[in-house]
Amino acid sequence: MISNPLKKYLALLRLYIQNSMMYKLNTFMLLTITIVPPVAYYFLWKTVYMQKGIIGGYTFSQIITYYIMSIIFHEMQPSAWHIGTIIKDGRLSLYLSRPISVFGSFLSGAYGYVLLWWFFSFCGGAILFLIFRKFIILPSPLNFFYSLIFAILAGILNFAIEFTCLLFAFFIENPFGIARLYRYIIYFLGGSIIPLDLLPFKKIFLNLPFKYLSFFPTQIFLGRVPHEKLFTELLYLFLWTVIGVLLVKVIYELGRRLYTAPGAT
Amino acid sequence: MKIEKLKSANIAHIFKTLLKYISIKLQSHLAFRTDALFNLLRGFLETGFTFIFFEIIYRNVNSIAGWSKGEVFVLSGMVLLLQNIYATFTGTGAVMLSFIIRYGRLEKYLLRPFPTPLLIAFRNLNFHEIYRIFPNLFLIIYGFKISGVKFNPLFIIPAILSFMLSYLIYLLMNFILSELAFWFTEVNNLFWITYDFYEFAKYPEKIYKGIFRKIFITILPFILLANYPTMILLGKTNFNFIIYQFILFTFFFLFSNILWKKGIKRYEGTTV
Repeated sequence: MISNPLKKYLALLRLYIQNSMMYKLNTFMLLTITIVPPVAYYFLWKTVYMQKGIIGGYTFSQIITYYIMSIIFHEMQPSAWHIGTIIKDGRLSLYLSRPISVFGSFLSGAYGYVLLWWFFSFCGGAILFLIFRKFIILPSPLNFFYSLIFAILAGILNFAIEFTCLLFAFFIENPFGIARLYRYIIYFLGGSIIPLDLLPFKKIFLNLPFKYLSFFPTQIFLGRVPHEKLFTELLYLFLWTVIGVLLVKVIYELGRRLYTAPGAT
Repeated sequence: MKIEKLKSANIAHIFKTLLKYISIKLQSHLAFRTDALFNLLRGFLETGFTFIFFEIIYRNVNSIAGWSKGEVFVLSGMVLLLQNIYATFTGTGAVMLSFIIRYGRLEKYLLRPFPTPLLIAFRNLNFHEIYRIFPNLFLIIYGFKISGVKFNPLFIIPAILSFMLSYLIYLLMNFILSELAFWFTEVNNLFWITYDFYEFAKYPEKIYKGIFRKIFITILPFILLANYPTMILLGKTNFNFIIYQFILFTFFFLFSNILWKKGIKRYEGTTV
């Protein structure tokens, strides 16, 4: 039996899913997000690997699988962008009067939208796996399951940090510069541009929580993480997520005291 | 009829109005100084990450399809520069056309004494993108320096011309997608296509083979967007590429015009 408070969020989630599926052609176009960039990466890395068989411990098959999966995991992350606009426009008042937490409401909404992206990302991934079947590394079902768990939990952490960045709308006129900066940083620190273990000073990058966004789930997918390490890593990720959510609470409470919405609709 | 006459006013008038509009928008943008600082920082990071990416690759190989590290840095700088300039001036405007059509607000623009597509394209200037231009220019200069290619000032004007044609082709491709809103209502996810296909612009053109190469040089000419101006600047090709770019530009311009005229006939601003 699902408890009442959770029911409210699930209802919101369902509504947002329905909303995002309203325009069929538009929705179908999400497929290209996963399919197109890996094709360009394929051509680039093929040219590179023609000159050298293994680069930084990665074979050609591993690097192609890495890029496909890291894009899928990156696209799985929900976005908190809307909260910045809502605070700036003074529309937060609408949310404050509802018997539901603002963070929970936005998280449900973001997952409502992103669930559809998950579906299309995996469809796109399946098409790519067919196109590049000669090079792709398929995971064991257990590794696939573990990688998904990490990517989903990391999504909440990422949402909490992005949400915190956008809560600066309470304090400064335009918080989107910080949020854009954060997005770009996590694209790199998450391992979507290049595997983090190929970077100089990799120890620093591998100790940051951002590795859980794309790099770490992809490493699990590729079978490059021993299973006995997974529990400790999951614990770290959980702790980072709790810290992220607490940060939201603190900044939100500080900001709410400053919030005014004269004349907002 | 009077509006039609005003819309076809001379080019000098159009440019003067555009410049005035850009100047007003710039002044309004400068009010947000903190935002400017973060965007400048983002520009440096964006260029820095691209630099690191190719540094790692070039630690393992000497060239990518005949392109040295310095040459690839010039290409990367050009790719980012085109993206930044496009995003600053017309990136949002081209996308907004689809929303304007969807929400039935096109009349507002049709009634103004200025060419409607141009007005919409320049409607949303994003000056927060302009700061990213400086690190990219730096990457181009650095790339040139380490490439060992002798700089020829005679190549600058053809390279700028090629760059401008790339800009216009990219704008028209996005505009054509927006115009599809006349028929399909919601097309905002289509813009991810051009954003994703832009990935093909980022690497030396010689790496692409077969059907992909043919498609991305003709129907979806993403490969040439940054490659041609870079190749001209580096003296890696002759100026014939500019003629090809001009042909592509003409094709996209005419196609966009046809869609616009047909779309306007279908348009109903019922929500106004």
